[in-house]
Amino acid sequence: LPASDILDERDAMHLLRRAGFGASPRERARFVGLSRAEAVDALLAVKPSAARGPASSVLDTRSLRRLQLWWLRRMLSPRYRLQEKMALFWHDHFPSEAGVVGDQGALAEQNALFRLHGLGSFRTLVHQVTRNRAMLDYLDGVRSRVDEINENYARELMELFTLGPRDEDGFDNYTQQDVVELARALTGFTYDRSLKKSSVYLDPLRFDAGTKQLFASRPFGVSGVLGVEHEDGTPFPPETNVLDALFAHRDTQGRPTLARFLVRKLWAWFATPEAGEALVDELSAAFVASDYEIAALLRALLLHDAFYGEEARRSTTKNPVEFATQALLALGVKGSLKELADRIARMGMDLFAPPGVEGWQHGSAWLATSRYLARIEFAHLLASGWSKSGFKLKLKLPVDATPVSLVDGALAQLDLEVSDATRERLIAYLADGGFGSESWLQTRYPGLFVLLLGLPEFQVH
Amino acid sequence: MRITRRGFLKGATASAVLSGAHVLGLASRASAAEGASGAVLVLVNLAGGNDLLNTVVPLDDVGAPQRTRYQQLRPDLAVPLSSLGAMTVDDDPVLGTGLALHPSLTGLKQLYGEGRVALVLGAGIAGGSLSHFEAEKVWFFGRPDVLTDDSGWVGRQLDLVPDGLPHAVSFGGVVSPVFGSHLADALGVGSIASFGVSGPPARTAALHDLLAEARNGLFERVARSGRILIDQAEFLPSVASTGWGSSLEAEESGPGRALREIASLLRHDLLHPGAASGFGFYHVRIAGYDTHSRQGVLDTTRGHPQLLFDLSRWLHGFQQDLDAIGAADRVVTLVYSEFGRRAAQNASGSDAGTDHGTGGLMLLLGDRVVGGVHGAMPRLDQLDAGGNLAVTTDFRRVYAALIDDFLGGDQTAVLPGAPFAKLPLIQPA
Repeated sequence: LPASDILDERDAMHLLRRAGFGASPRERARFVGLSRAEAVDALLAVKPSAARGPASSVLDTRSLRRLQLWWLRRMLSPRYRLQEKMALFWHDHFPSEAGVVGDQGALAEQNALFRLHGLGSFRTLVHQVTRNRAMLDYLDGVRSRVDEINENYARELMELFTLGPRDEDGFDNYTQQDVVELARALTGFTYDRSLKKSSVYLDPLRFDAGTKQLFASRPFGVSGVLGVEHEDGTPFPPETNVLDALFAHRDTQGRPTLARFLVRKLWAWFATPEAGEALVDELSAAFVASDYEIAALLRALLLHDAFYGEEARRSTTKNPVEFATQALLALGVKGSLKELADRIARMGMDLFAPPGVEGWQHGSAWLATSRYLARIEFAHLLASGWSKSGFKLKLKLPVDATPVSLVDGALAQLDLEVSDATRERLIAYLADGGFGSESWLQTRYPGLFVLLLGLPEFQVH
Repeated sequence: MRITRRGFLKGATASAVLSGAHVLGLASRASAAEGASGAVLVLVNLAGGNDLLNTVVPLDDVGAPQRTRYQQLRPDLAVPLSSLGAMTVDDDPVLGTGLALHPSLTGLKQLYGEGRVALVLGAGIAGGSLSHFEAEKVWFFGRPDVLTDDSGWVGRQLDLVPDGLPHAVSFGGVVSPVFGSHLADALGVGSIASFGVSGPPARTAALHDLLAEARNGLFERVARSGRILIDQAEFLPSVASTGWGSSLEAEESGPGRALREIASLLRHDLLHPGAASGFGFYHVRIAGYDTHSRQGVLDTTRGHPQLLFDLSRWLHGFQQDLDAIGAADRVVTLVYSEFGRRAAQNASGSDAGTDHGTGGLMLLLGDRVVGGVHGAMPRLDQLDAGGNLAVTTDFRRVYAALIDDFLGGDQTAVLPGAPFAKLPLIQPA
């Protein structure tokens, strides 16, 4: 193997930050020395799971915090990493808002879908989301029927979930008429509100069984009695299945629209905000060749040289979940983590309550003034040693510790690269305030970690 | 510990900053960026697409069969005439049709009666998108021709007079793209009252120093956000945001609190001109207007009537606050939404809602506003092929009026495609 294919400490942390939620120093050591393929395959080797949150008795309480904390704890576990990273991606991609859906059981059920199919077939995932209780409620699918068409889900399915409004040359991917036709084909899904568990089915009386035309003026257009699935749950054949028609969509250059759309979004999620043309060509080809297996696309993406290139390093703002989980894992914070979900919400990422159907805004939006402030306040809370908040941060002080050794150790622990001037300033801060004294131990030393977590360098990965 | 906010923000070395004694003096912060004579623009965004026809309701068939078509299109959503008796506003300026505000808008109706509300009907842009995100961009950016430009129309106004200080505040945490700018910073604030940094002073001072270090690229942009937040964390909580008799005193969260805090900042600026905030632009986003289902007609405890009820209460309270603190002559509030809604309802019974549509409503509020009905109500017997209302009034005609006549700026420097024929919305100062 070429040396560059073997993960050094820096590569390992890059991979674990992006494809997971960071790692403790011990965990990251397990990845150093592996080849890229070994490491990525280890991350991908996670069984599909239907785990869907805490007991329903807990979900009945009106607070979302328990469900959120249950999920955050899974993210912090070294067992799931990429599975939960993808569940978070899908939650952002196919959002549902607790304020609209209300039924927390339905939200947890949707979340389980992302865990079960999140690394599997994107065809299956799109189908399952289309007939998912929370989504049917959130985007009004359950209220769309033959005599009363509701366009909400159909529009967002094309615009936000599969195609995007226009292709890379600026041509519309669909027309308003396509929204209407697709909405007609998606009618009929309903569920029994009296049942707790998923009971979605297609009601033929609500389904628009008339003839429809989707993408009528395009070579890949389809027509006929278009739909998704029959009353007995069997899917429509590809010729009349509108979900298959989305996968068959080609842009004005004849390229696979859906694959390119998803590749760009996943590249931004895992690597850098912008993907070059050649990269999109290459990754979308891999995605299509696998017949839209998400794991195959992720493998190609996470093994790509560009993923390990300098341009991808420290190039994107951590979202609040990434910020908090990376800090907790690196510092080995223990405790009930009771306030974690609330603190992450203050940073702008209230899980199960995204701001709208477009999910969260990423990039610099995460560092709007009040949100950056919430990150610093979280760091203060960690450092305060205030046990009621549920965070136990145990700071070690070796007998021969010096300000220099402590700063260098903390920088390494937090996987931080800073300028010499910043390092000097941190050392000076730690040397001051009566080094080693009781008050130094109580406030000055914990303060080092507040400064480190507040540094611009820690907001970016 | 006090810091020189101006010096700190401009990136002066932190030690020099911290050696400055008690200097919050920013006497000249009311720069040209804020428009002539301290004009303040408050933008209220009804996110999701507000329904024009159930906000300003046709009453009769004068000029066109507006009422008849309205009831035909919306058998389960039409606001009944019996509820509109006290809500009449001026007739449609083009057709002459009678119009009324939704009955939940009592506070706005009162302000309308005082000549302080302008209703711009049929606002939008020709060929506008029915996608929330594309349509929003067009309104935020003030231009229809780009999809990726990241500068907002207010942001470009701010860019004309860069002074290194933030002059715009978005409430709700995220900075609105309307303030997107190449040179100027905007704040994203949840609540000014809780905008403080914890921890001992030595720690905060060290954080100052670290943020003031020289950096490049993304790191520098993040550091700059950090410097602004530390600076504002000293200032914002010092502004009295309760206990001064605000009409919105009881609002504990959301847009109501945001409007109270804006009034609080304006009050502060009037009382302490030597330590004024420097803010000339505010943005408040109110979510929930995407009423695809269960839109409702009259019940103000749910759906669209509840949204309107809250909006009216908040705007009325805000205007009362401006009156009380003597700021009513310098503030204009613009209420806008990315589009309107489909003319016809999309379901029957209580499920009834409306899908995305064209031809919306802009509403301006303030003492400087020329009250009354502007634009024209789209004809309900002349919908387009998709069942949509015609756009009768390009929204940029409103932006142009605000820029030229209220902010004392120049629309041609801010709006691509300008000049636009300004609507007569602003009275001379």
